Amino acid sequence: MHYKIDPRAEDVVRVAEQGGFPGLADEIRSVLFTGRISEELESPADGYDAPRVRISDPQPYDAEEQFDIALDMLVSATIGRVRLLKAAEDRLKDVTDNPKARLMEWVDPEVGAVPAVPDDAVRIADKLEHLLGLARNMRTLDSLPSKGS
Amino acid sequence: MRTEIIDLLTQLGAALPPGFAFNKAGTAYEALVALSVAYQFKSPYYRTTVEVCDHTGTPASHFVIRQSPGKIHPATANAPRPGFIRLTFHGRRAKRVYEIHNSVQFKGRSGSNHEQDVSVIAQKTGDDLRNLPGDGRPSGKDLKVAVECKDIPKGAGVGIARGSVGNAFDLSPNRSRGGSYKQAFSKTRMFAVTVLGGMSVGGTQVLDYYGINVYANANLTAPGPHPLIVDVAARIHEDMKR
Repeated sequence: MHYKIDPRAEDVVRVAEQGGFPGLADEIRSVLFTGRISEELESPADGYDAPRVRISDPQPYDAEEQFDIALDMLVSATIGRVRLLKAAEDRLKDVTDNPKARLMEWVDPEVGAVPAVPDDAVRIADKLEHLLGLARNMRTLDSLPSKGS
Repeated sequence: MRTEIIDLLTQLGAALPPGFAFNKAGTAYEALVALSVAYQFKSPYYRTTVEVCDHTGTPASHFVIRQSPGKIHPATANAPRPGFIRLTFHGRRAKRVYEIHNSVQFKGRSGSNHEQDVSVIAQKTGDDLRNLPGDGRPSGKDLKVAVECKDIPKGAGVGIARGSVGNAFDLSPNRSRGGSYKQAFSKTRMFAVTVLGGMSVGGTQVLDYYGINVYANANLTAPGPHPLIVDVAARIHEDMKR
């Protein structure tokens, strides 16, 4: 069963798609389509010595939850990963006692190794975080204030 | 303003390394786990020298991590290739040396290969593979510690736990007579799953039952050592003293 996606959450999904992350957009849609499935432990049934896990039927997320989930997933897959890489690079500096140490990512024999966290990515992630933070507060991507306001 | 967000996402995609996969398990999280374990060994308590190395084993200031599952490259391969972190334990009896790798595939008992997001092996295993003429994979029996790093902020479910049990099963020796799977998976080695978000009740139950450590909501960017890091370091330290 697929639940309906609220227009504001769908808006976030489209932004991810148009921003060049179609796989992420599919993943967000899939989570919202599926709804919430919860698990809880129950007392052991006859013939078992361990508690059993009861899995609930899926329940739809409400519109506000959908918007938050879509935004959370967008933030973590973009800004979140840049932040993790930056944290890893900072830890590398601590490990090597070398403030100039860089974390490199080996892609393949033709590309070789490239900086895992380019300075540009950190700068862009900062700006993106600001805008998505505003969107979260306004509860929509529509009514964000323009740059000059 | 929607346009501005789309523009920034496009710019971010362009700024990141080619092939940087947003929907795959995060290399970023693996790197953070591997380096956090290494950093833990900088404490004088462990009497260990920590060195970031290139693929030949020469100390380096840059750390090259694998972006996708792979093998250990021969020392004769052209640089740069994925490196590793060397831990040299200065014990009372003898020097013991270990290596921390990311995204290396290990050969299972079935003959199938299994990627370990963060793994710890003895230096001898690494040296043997680096001395081969081509790329090579360690075997499950060489594994000291394996950490499955799940960069899933929304949380992981029982499917992840099932996969981890299968992974531990194929990479562990046969059970000794009367021994449990839990013993086979955790007596002389450590399997762990760490998740950026939560782990479902069912997933936790499965992992606990089989002696696979689980760490939920493990965002390692907070100050101070996370229990995952403390436990991994303790397991390696125990092996060092053996």
